[in-house]
Amino acid sequence: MIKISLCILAVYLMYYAGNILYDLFLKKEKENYKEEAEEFSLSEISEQYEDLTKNVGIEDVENLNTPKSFNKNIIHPDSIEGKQERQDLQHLREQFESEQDIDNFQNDGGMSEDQPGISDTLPSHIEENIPNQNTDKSSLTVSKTNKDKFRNLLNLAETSVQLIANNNGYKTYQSIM
Amino acid sequence: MIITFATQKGGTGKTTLAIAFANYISAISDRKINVFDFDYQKSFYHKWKEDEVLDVPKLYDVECIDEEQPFADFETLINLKDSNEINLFDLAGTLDAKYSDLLIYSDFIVIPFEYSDVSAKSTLVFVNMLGLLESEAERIFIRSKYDKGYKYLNQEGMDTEITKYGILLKSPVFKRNCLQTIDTRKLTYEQKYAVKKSFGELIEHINETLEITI
Repeated sequence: MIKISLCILAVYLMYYAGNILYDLFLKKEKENYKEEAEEFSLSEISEQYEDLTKNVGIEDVENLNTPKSFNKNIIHPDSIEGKQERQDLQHLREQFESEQDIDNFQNDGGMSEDQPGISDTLPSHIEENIPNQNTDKSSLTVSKTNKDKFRNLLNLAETSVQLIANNNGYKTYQSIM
Repeated sequence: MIITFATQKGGTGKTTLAIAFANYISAISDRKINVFDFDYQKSFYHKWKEDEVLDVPKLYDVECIDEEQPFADFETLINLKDSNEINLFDLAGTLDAKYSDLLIYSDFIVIPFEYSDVSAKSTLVFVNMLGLLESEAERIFIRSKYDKGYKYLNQEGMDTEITKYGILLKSPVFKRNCLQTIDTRKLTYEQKYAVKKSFGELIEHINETLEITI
């Protein structure tokens, strides 16, 4: 036992001595090496490439020649839509005015006689279908909202389970609801 | 009454236990048993259809539910609940919105589970879901595919957690090969022995709760 302890002590002392030697000589050399390192200054580099630098304005960027594929995805569709809207405004106004004219004509001339006729000629099967379609649609939307609600509840149920213990991979969970 | 076999995870032996329970109960009870296969895989129904070639007479009818909203009129469900007959539902391993009415109005929901990580977690997710749906059903947990010679290190913790939400049957259904070859016409001696204790406890609990004799 004493022998082993002495051996360990000897190894430790040797290691310690080695460390001191390293700090005294080897480390210094490294520092010297650092001191000898070349120094660069940015000003020199900037002077060297001064002729090459050039101001790039927004016009240069806009007039840049790019491959056609670059234009496939429009980044700002809103602005383009806005322009189109402005162009269409005149057309829309004309359309609105002409529609208004038609309405006025119907109100002024024999409208009172024509109106019931129109509703009478409406095929009966279409009239029957209208409420059915509505109910179908409403039931569809109801089932859809139910599904969404259910999914939300399921998500909540899933997120409300917490791991409380892990015993060699055997996990114990707890509900935090 | 409505007894539903459901979990949030497939592979826990839900359909096997449902078949075993239907067979077991038809042997001990005079009540009519109606089985509804609500699983889109229709395992119970297919098994029942396959067994038509057997010489043994059928014990019960299995109906397949394909509709998206089978209890839209609601009265059907309440009639099933109030009925003296035993209406057994086998659900899919994935929860769906169409199950919500059934999960709410079942008398008992039998939840087979294992102590594996996935099963333990999904059992609690399922329990949470029942809570969120404000289900009136009594939750009955049954240990499925239980290995007698194995020490489940999370058993104690999971049992404590699970018993907060319902009844945990003391006797597990052990992992047995004989249950793999179960059919819808009979229970062999071995199969009966495998589920006897657990189902005995389950039926006793149902009898006590509803104050009836199945």
